[in-house]
Order: sequence, then structure tokens, then C-alpha cells
Amino acid sequence: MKVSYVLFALLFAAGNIFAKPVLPIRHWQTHNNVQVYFVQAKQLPMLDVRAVFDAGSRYDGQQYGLAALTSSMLNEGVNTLNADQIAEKFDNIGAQFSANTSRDMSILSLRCLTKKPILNSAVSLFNKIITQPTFPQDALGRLKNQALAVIAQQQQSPATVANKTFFENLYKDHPYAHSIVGKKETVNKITQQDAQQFYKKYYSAKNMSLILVGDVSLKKAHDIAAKIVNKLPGGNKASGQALANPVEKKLVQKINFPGTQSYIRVGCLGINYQDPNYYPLLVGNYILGKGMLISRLFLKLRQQHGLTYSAKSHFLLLQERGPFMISLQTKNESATKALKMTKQVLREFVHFGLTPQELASAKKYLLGSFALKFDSNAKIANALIPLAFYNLPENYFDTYKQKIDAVTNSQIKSAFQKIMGKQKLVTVLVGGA
Amino acid sequence: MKLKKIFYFCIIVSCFYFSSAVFANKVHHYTLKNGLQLFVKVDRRAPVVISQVWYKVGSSYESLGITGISHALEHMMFGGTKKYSSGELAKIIAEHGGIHNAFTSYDYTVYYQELPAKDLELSFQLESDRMSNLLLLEKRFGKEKEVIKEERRLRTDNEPQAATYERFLAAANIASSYHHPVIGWMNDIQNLNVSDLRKWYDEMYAPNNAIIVVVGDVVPKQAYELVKKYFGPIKIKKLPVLKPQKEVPPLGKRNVDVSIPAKLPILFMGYNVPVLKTAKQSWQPYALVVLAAILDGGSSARLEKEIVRGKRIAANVGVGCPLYSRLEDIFVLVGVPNKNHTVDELKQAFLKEIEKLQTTLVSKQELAKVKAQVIAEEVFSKDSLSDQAYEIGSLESVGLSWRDGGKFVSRVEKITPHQVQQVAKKYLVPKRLTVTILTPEEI
Repeated sequence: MKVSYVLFALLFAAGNIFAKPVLPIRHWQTHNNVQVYFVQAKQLPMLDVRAVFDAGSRYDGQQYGLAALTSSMLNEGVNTLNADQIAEKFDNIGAQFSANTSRDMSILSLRCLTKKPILNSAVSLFNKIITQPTFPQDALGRLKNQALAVIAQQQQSPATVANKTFFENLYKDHPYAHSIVGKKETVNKITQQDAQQFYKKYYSAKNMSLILVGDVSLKKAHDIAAKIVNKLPGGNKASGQALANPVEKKLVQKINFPGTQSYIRVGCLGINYQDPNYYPLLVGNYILGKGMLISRLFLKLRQQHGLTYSAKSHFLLLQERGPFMISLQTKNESATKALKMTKQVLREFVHFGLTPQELASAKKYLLGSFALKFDSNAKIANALIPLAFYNLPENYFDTYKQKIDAVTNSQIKSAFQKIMGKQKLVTVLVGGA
Repeated sequence: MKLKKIFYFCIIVSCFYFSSAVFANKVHHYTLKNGLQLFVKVDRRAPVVISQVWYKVGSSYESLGITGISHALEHMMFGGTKKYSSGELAKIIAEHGGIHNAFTSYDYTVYYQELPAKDLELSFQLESDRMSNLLLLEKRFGKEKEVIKEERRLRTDNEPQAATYERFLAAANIASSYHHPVIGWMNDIQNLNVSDLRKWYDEMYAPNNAIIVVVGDVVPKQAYELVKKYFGPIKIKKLPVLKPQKEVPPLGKRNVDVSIPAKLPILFMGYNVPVLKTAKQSWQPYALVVLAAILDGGSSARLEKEIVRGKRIAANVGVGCPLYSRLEDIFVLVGVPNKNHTVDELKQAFLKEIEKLQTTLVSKQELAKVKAQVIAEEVFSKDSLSDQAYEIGSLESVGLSWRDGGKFVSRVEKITPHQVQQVAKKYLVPKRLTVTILTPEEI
């Protein structure tokens, strides 16, 4: 990547003066307090935008599906344009717009060429979508139907049923429990007013970060950012939710589902980005169940015993603590055997940690693959999302390598034992008897 | 075209909106004495390189009884050689921070690594070794066969939309070898043995049946020298002459019903169409591409506008148009009806849109919109090393040229409203149509 050397001296002060920054990130605040993160990428005449709002499904309350529906409604109408016209405007300039809601955030994305008339048009329309959505009643009805179709589709996929059941059992009453798209009963009841209120509360400047990656100058980026947030009310920063509770009682949930395979999920409460054990867990989990073709779960369940196509473990990093989840699927006849084996792999791992060779391997992979995370504009834009949203230190990318390198096996063991030792496991099986 | 997330499996058999020449990224082409071809494209945005080996063999080279053999062989290619035991290969790549994987498709099998640029040589060491020294062990295959069966269950057997799509293709493709799935029918997988794979490997994995594509932070001449060093000694092979399995002209509409446990109905409609490789008139496949974009190029395209937003008959729709397939292929329309609407209404709505294309010329504005989208997509596709590599490999391995990628935009720009109407009238007709409907059974 062509790093602009002029920039790093401004950005990275104490400790890293002689190190080339991994990403030349420029960071500022707009007049209405929106945090902006910009990385210039001159290779291609295009721009990627991520408008990140603290407006995820954790704020649904009892109206499961509200956050997702609200974000999907934004481009259904603005003050002077209806959905057809908005779509037409973007398509005519080859620009791509999308909205996505997860548990913590709602993200509006834009991709367009940087040719002046195209860029201006795309940015202007993006601003309108953010600041003047009209939530047309007929569009709401249509999008509710689409949500219902997604819900039905999830119900016919045993893998998705397994994931959903796992979240519900892990999180119980916590706002992370329910499915982001909602339930049939709750989606049906959502009104235009509900969506408007949700929008008003969460789509405000203080609740937003903006990411820009592409072929524009710093000055132009300032200009674009100002245009995107123009007329967005200050609002209030959302206050988040309570941290989720660790699993106190062992839970096994079996769901009968037609088909030839059983879908297995095993796990417990994990961490967020701020956890002091973040790096030891990252390194450890690579060996347990993330490293492609080389993880313990892969080697035992697939390689050695041919029981499954994939067996993985993952820490999903959510603000109120995301899940630690192992997932695999196997023919019905092998379900009991595979589950037993999975728990054994986990137990051994937590007890003994990594061998010295495994620790060395894990570090080599995580250090060596770091550059691969930033080899496209899209990847850079996505890498900036947690930095912006979870308030990671600005030198997060620059200190990553040394932090990985410093991890010891005893830290890994201690980190995993802290998580597994103080919790019981949630186990879900979806499939034939 | 961008298909919505509701359809998680790839309907488009070949991608068609990638290109390379506008920003003059030259592709360097080398051929070794043993027939191995190397294509190198420089992209220095990151100190990273993608290296892919494309074997010109996939499920469309398979005949009935051994379907899934190419995919099975792909699995076994991770089983180790004399030099690198299974697992060692993966470990070496991982320890260099690399990503290491493979995929099998209808027309090719591809092995790739994404690595720090300085480690490119590693890719060639490993790939050259397993091109000719693969151990195919009975015991290993015993396990791997079980894994493949699990993969089939995961991807198809227990996913109703995927299972329906599989039956759709089996009906839409009559004699063509696109009829059977890449992973193979379960019974065929079960009956594969190591000696079958050994034969397939010996016959099809040859330097003169392979292409290497390298994209990233690379010096072409250096890459060539390394490829010569590692692959040069591998002997050229006499390739088998496989039976062609050519498609027959469709004689009438086909209807297929699928009744399995599900919650949602789904409709597939497919038309047998020529592709760039088979078309007697080379503009026709591009006219079909433009037609597909008019129907579903974006949110303002006709299907979204009329059927999803307008009449609300569909919750979701999609169109897939093949361009770079090796054989004649299927132009696909797919949709999920909204509640309170039937599959039949959706089918009628699709047919109505097709009729419009046959009776009325598309507007200049619509064509201009398609062009704008295609031009933008061409730039966006360059934001990915693997997309750029995929374009070169997928073209060259079916006997097209990487240059066809660069000509995509200009060929699309030349298509006129009359040409769109012509292909609609010639190809989107009942005789060429296969309809497949999933009617859910209670879960």
C-alpha cells in the first residue's frame, strides 16, 4: 500500500515515531460532532462510505425487528423523492447503496466512482437518506412482508435455527437474545410511528461515526463528510445496554428438525473488544477452532474422524459481550459422538492450552496475515468499523503485532479458564433424533 | 447481477461484470515447454499476492456414475504428497500468514493461496509438488468421503432452496453435463474409490491442462522464472479425449415440482441460451447480459420496480445470466412470492416482463443506465485481487481469452435496443423454458 509518509508524523506520536503506520488514518470531528475516519486510497477512482450508527437490534425493546426495519426503510423515500426515484438516481450513476443492521449497529454503505458529478450526486442523495427519510406507509407494509419472508426462510434452514436457538438460550432476557429480523408477531405490529421514533432517537450526529476510504484528497474528504452529515441533528449518544450475564446453569436444548444432519452449537458468554484478555483469546482461539485446516476442532472432528465438513469456534465481539460459540454439523447418527468429542477437545484445550509449536504457529499466522486485511478499499473500510464504533485506540492497528507477539501460553490458559471456569455451557442440537 | 442475500447460493454460473483493460493493467502471458500457461497481473496496492492454479477439469467433464469426482479429488489434493504430509502443507502456508483453499466448479478446479508478496515461491513449491506427486491413500479417502457426504448434506440436502435449485438444473440441462451438481449425487459419491480418483488425477492433472494466475505485488519476469523452476520439470501428458456431452435442442417447456419440508415456496425459471463460447453470433450473449441488467441490474430495474415494489407479488427476485461458461447454459429468473400471492402469479408476472421485452424496445435511458452500472462495476471489481485473478482464470480455462474481460464494457456499450428485443424473442420462449417450483411440506 502506498502510504503517505507526510501523514504519519501528524498522527502517531509517542512510541511509534519510527514505525510506519499500518494505515494512514485521518480522524476529525464534523461541526455537529460526528467522528470521521478517513484513509486515502489512490489506486482506484472510487469511494467507499460507511455511516455507522449506534442503532442495532439491542434497542428493539419488545418490538423485535424494529431496528432492522427502520434501517431498511431509510431509502424508501426522502422529502423530494420516492423509492423508485432514489433507486433510479443511484443506478444511473452506477452507485451502490445498502443498509444493514446487526445487534450493536446499523450501517449505511455507499460505493461510487469519484468522478465529480457522480460523487456529488451520490453524496447528496446519501445525505438525504440519512437526514430526511419519510417512512412511507406503503413501503413499511412491503418491507414487513419481506422481513416475514426472511423469517420464514430462517425457519427452514436448520443451521439458522441452531444459531437462533443458541442466542436465545445464551442471552435469555438480554437484548442480544432475539433474532435481528424479529418474529412474525412483533414485526406485524410495528407501525410507521415506531420506526420514525426509533430513527429520531438513534440516527443523530452524536450517535454516528463516518468512515471514508478512497481516491479523494484530505480536503475533499472533509468536504464530503460535512455534506453527508449536513442538517443531521445533534441528538444524544445512546447509552448502550447492560452487560450480558455469564451462563450459570448448564443448558441442553434439542430441537427436532427433518433432515439428515444434526446442527450442533456449544458455547457460553464471551467478551467485548475492551476485555483485557482480548489478545490471548484471539491467539488461543486460532488454534482451538479458527485456523483453516489446522485448528484442533478441524483436525479432530474432520481430519481424523470424518465426522463433519466444518468445525469452528468463534468469539463474536459485541459491546455487551458477544458469544463464544463452537459450531459444526454431522449426520444424525454421529451427533452424540461428535458432541462428546467436541466437548473433549474444548476441555483439553482449556486445561492445557497450546503446545509451544502451536503458539509459535498461531503467532506466525496472525502476524503474517495482517497485511492481507488491508489489501482492498472494502477491507480497509470494514476494518475501520470496530475502531470507530467501539472506540478502539487509534494505534490499534499499529500495536496489534506487538500485542500478539507478547501473548504467552499461560495467559491463554488463564483467559480461557476465566471464561469456561466461571460458566456452564449452552448446547444446542437441531436435527433428526 | 447483485442477487439479494435471501438467495445464499450462487446462481450465476459465471461472473460477467469484471474487466481489466480500461486502467491498462497489463496481463503478462508466458507458456512453458510442457504447455503450462502463466498469467501475471501487477497490482501493488498492498504487499500481497494471490496465486491460483486452474485445472481444466470440473463437474462438466464428468459422466454419469462418477459425478462429484473432480470435487472429491480437490478434497484429496490436501491429503499430502511424499514431500509434504497432509496438514504440513496447510501449516506451512498458515505460518507465513497465508490463506490457502480451493474450489471446484463446473468447468474448472482451482487451488489458491493468498500470501505476503515475498512468499510467492512457497505457492509454486507446493502446487508443483502436488500437481504430480499426490498421494492418494485409501484410508484417507475413507474419511474424506464421509466429509464430502457431510458437505452435501450441509449445502444441499438440508437446505430446501438449494435442493430445489439442484433439481431445477437437472431438468433445465437435458443432455449437457451441467445437468449434475458439482458435489455429485450422493450415491455416486458413495461409490467413488481411490483408484477412480487416481485415474482422474493421472489423466487430468497435467501441466498442459493447467493455468497459473498470479495477481498482486509481483514482478512478472521473476514469477515466470520461479514457475519455470518448479513446474518446468513436470512432463507434458497426453490428455484424454472426453466425450463432449453436448446439449440437445429443447423440444418444449419442462415443469418440475419439488415437495419437501420448507416454509417458503420458490420459483425458478430457466431458458437454454448460448454463451460467448458457443454463440454463432458473438453479440447475442452480450445482448442477454444487457437484458438481464434491464430486468435486475439494481433496485431501479424492472423486476424490483414492478414486481417487488409495484405489484408486490414477490418478496424477492433475481436474475442470473451466464456469459463465460464453457458450454451452453441457463438464463435464470428466481423469485419468492409474497404472502397472499402465489407462485403462479409470480410466474405470470415474470412472463409478462419477458413479453414486454419481446414486443417493446427498451429505452435509451435504460441502456444508458446499464452502461453506467457496468462501467462503475468494472472499477469496483479491481478493488479485489481475487476478483481480478478469477476473471483471468475463468476466461482462459474455458478457452476464452483474458482480453475478453477488458472488452466487456465496450461490447455491452454496443448493444442496441433492437438486439435486446431480438434475443428476447429468440431465446426467452416456452420451448426453451424450464419451470421449477418448490411447494413446502410441513416442517
